[in-house]
Amino acid sequence: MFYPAKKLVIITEYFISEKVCAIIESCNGKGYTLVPIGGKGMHHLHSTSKKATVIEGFDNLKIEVVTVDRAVAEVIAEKVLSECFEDFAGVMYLEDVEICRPERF
Amino acid sequence: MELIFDFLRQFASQLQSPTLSFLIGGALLAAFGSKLTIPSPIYQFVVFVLLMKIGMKGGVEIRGAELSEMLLPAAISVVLGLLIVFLGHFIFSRLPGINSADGTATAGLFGAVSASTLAAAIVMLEEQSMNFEAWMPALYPFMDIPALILAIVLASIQREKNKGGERKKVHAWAIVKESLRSSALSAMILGLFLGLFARPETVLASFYEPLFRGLLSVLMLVLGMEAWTRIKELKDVAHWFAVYAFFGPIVHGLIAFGLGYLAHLWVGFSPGGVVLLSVIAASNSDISGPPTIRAGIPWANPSSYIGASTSVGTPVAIAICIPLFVALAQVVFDL
Repeated sequence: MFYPAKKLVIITEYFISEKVCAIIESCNGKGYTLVPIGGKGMHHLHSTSKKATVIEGFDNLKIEVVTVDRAVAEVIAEKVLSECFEDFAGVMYLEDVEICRPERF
Repeated sequence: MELIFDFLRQFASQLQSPTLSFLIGGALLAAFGSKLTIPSPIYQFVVFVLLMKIGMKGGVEIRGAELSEMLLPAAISVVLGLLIVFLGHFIFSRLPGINSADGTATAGLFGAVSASTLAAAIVMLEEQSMNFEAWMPALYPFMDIPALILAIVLASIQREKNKGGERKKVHAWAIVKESLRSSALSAMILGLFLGLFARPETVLASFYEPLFRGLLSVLMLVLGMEAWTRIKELKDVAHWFAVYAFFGPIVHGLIAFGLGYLAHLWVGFSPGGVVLLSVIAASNSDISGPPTIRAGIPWANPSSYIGASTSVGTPVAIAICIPLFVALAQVVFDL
């Protein structure tokens, strides 16, 4: 029923999300999940509340890519690191997951 | 002396105006740690209605206006947008302990225009029965877009100098598109077109105009809360940003007042128009400018420019600059 796979998690700024998603697609990632998030790290506390902020677009996103091929995750991570994280805030980690329907990943 | 008394009188009365009292009220609420929140969708709707009304009213009135009169003030707006950024870039590059990109990004925001300050100024002028040209709000993009583009170009040149390597190409057209597509500017431009080419008078009179002042008070409350919340961010960066954010709007507005006065002498630019031009120059972009700057100068620290603009620049532009320029116009133009 379940098959082993890798989940690459990229937490970054909304501004750079389109570029990250384009990298994922260009590196044969078959899909991704976007989740709006908040939390605290080196760059202040990022609120998760629905409170209005005057400034648009300063939100953070969690982008998850699941793949059966660890090499795909590594290529994506390398590209994101070199092309996106120089100027933008970002966190990345890899997790072991188990998935149904491996042909979709 | 008379000017000072007049200004103080103006200022005292402005403190009681809905615009300013809601701004201060919002800051007080945030300072006391109130749990009151205005949800994001409501804020977005408020911005939409305000800018739509400003655009539509302008569009309806422009129909009969002589648009060639707009040429000189539009040119002055472009010059002001560029001048403010050059000035800020120059000042920050000479201050100690400032990352040049942070300074240029801040100057870019102060050259750009705030939709909420514009709305507040329009209400204040209406209260004073001070007339201004119908096309005045349309000057917004003429100052806003060149300022943002120039800041991004200057920061890119600076980075190339510092790093040596290849300069990132600045996509000016992409910045223009991004600015025009921002929520505030696109609502205002749609309103302008509807006012010009459709007949929206009934909906303007029955919906947008009655809501305008009430919704502006909600916007001011949000701005006040945000100003207080963001002060923390400003504490972490050089204090020069707070100093610049306090005096910048006043100086920028005074330069605009001078140029506007020349336009008044040359082409009969109205006193209300001069005040509005000064307020636009004094204002700093708080809704759509920051994301454009973040995308264009990602190596600048957002805490410096957002803290400077939202927690100091905008309150100064609304609370000090609007009454200051109204009072100045009353003395200079003998109203």
